[in-house]
Amino acid sequence: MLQMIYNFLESFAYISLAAIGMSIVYGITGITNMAQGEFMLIGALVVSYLCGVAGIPFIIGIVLAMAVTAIAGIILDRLVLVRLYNRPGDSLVCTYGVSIALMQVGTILTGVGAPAVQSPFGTLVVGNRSYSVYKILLIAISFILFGLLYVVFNKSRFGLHARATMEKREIAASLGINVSKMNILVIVLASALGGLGGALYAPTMSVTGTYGSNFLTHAFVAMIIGGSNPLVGTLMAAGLLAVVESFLSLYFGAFIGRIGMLLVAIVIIRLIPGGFSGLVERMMVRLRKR
Amino acid sequence: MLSTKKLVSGYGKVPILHGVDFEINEGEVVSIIGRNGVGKSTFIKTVIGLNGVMDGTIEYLGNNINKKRPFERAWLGMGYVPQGHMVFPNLTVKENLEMGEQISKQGHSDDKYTFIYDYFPILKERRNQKAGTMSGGQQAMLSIARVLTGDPKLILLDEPTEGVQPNIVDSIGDIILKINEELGVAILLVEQHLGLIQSVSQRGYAMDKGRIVDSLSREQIDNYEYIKKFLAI
Amino acid sequence: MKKGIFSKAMAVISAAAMLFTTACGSGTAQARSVDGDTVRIGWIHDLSGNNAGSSAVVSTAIEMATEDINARGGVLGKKLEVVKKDGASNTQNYSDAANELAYNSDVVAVFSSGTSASREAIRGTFEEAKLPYFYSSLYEGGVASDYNICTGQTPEQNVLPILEYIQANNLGTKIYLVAADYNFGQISGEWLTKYAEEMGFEIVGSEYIPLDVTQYGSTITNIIDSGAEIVWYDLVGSAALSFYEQYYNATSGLDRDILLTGGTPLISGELSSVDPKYLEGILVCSVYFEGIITEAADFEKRYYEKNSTGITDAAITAYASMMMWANACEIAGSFDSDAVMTAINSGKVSGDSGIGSTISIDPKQHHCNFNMYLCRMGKDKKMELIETYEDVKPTYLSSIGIDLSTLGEAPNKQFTPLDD
Repeated sequence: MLQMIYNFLESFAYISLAAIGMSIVYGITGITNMAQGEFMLIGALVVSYLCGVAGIPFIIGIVLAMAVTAIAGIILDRLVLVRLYNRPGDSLVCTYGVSIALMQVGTILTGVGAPAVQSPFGTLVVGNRSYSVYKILLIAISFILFGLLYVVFNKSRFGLHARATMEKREIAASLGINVSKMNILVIVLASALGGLGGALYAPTMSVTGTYGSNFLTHAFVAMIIGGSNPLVGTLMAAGLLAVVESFLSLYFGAFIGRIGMLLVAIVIIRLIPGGFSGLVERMMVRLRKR
Repeated sequence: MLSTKKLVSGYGKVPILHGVDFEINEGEVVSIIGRNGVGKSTFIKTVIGLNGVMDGTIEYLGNNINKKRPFERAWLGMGYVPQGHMVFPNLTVKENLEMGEQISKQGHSDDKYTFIYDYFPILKERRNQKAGTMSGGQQAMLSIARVLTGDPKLILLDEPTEGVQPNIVDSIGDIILKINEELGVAILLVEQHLGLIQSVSQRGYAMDKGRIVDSLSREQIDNYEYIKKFLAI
Repeated sequence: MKKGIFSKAMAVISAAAMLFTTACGSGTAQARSVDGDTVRIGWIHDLSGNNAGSSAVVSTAIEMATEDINARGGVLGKKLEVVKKDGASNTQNYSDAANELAYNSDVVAVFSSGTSASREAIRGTFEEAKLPYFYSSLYEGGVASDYNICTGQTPEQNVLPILEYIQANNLGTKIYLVAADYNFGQISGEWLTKYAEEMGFEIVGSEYIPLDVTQYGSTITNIIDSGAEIVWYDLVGSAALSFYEQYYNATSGLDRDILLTGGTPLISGELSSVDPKYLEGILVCSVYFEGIITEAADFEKRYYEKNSTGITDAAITAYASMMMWANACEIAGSFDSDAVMTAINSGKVSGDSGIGSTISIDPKQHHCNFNMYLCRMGKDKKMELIETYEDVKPTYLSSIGIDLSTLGEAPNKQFTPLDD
């Protein structure tokens, strides 16, 4: 039982950390960024080379990874994304192309694979099983991240402006919001989050050019069924997908787990086109009317 | 304060306005009247910058603002109250108001909120309620209050009475007059509702097919027989 | 009216184009005559993508073999040149490359080292074009083909020594199988099951996992729950490299030892990309491991002057395949496909492995014999040799009555234990 909860939480953290960047960008700028996986790759590469080779402490490596990816986000925005605001379909195609290109660059850089980074902290033994302390930490981080983002979005001025822009972009602009600046800030935030996720997972996986694509399926599906609210939507989507995948993988194997997850996503989108965000909104409205 | 000369704009490549000459001075309440589809909304959207200028000029406070983006025009003191009110539905009433205040030189001040709640008591009552759950009339009030928090010099009102019940229309008229008298804010009102036009306008323009076809004095506005030909009555 | 004519013209042009390209691409390959001073062979392997990890070594091996062959005067007096194609870990690319090499180039033989899926996708092309095709990777065995020679180890050569060692040392009887979900993994799984059950082992669970999975939590949970004492690992590709860290962390606190072994650990780039701590204790058996074969020292030194990626058996079998081909041409006295194959079928063809042994092609089975080395991974990637098995011959195809030594009579298909 404990094992199942652990597997679920592991899956939840994985999907959340991958999806949160994509969801935020989609919710506020209307762009589907298929290159988010490659931001994670950049984060992982920074950590692999700085920590795995140069021996820099892991924490510093993560901070640097976030900084580098934030810069990469700005570059991507100025070069590509600036023309794609509010165009989810077109941006999906364009950023997918960017993703492929970056994957190839990543492959050329890493060749066989980037230098390995050991996952710190060792294991915790409970009963007859051992659990990676590091993975438990990642689970905690995913919750903390949601908490932080909640505070930022709901209690800060920036968060207020972001939420308004998400709801009615033109009106927000007419009230004095520099929407372009908001877009860049959001993309920087999302890239840094991608870099964070990529860096955090680097010790547990092999880092090759295709590192990002490992996360992309889950991130994209979570983003779609989460709907436009990056917090509530991503949280619920990650939760559901994690439950489905971890449960099915345990009893039927990884392949069925993957298929099951995708089928569930298809069903959800068919039944609730607005994703979980739309569902929650409608529920709140109904609750209030009573 | 604000003037347009031979203003042409529209959507995509299709012009809706075909050369509009317009003027409003500080502290005036000026209406643009006309039926549906004549280009009133397009005009206001072009003034605030949500539509681009295809030809002609817009001058505000002595400067050509053709190329200024909407948020820049807001910072120059324009407040835009869109057609359909367009409150932020998931933000609370208070949060909606806070969205307006960033362009004010004072920023956030409790005094300001006191006087706004004074003007709009219903908003004070519901300040923690999600804006999307309010009635049409209440949302209309909110959309006006929202631009007030920014201490605007010029308010652009696009058909504020749409979807609003008659007694609230009267309140809106009262508020417009109050804002103009007590705060000295210029008001550009685009409307079809005769009652509101007559109760607040100091002068006006009639629009048809994307052009100004007549300028209207106070007397002409009051004259039902004269004015009805510009409206769908 | 204009539209009508235009579309008719387009139809005629496309039909002509189709006929033209079909004419180019089909039919038998022209008899290859080699003019000038150079002879060319084709090599298709993965320079990028999921399988680049196992392929990086092959590039260097090709380089070294070419240098060695040319240093002794080339093949039949002609300088050897290699035409390289990147499979990019994508089977479609292999098909395209194979077609091009078979019908639009002057190569006299083709070599490849990609996945079994890629091999099966192109084997037919070379059988039809009647071009000698050498597949140098370790694989699941069973290919009985006129023109395809497999120069990598097969399950009958590496699974048995491992199982025998486990049994002799009482390391356990319960096996959990984790294999890649495609033809190689599936057939290897059949082999493992067949041998294990014959020897009295119990397969307590098996999972076939897609090639791009990187999160193994559920699988590892199942392994632990099944009471397995041995994990048989037949995963492939760089995504699978993530398994080791996750497995180590999830099992290091267990009250029992689970032995990690299998047909494919260490061939996907583990030595470069996985932290040594996670590789300790792995039991493997292969034609080559670094640092345990004294005669290989020169080869290793020379290899590392060119490439820093850890050497695996893929390099050795690729090197040997080219040497054997060169030898076959010399015996045949020509580059002509049928002459070369007839030379091979005479049983006289062999080649230097580069590590101090000679590898020959069995004429009846078109597979090779190897010295097999059973080893255990120690600390810091130091391999410990447990036992050497000399000259382990292929046996499977002969055991089911196949004889490929007469050209033109091969079944040209792959046999698996399920067929028996």
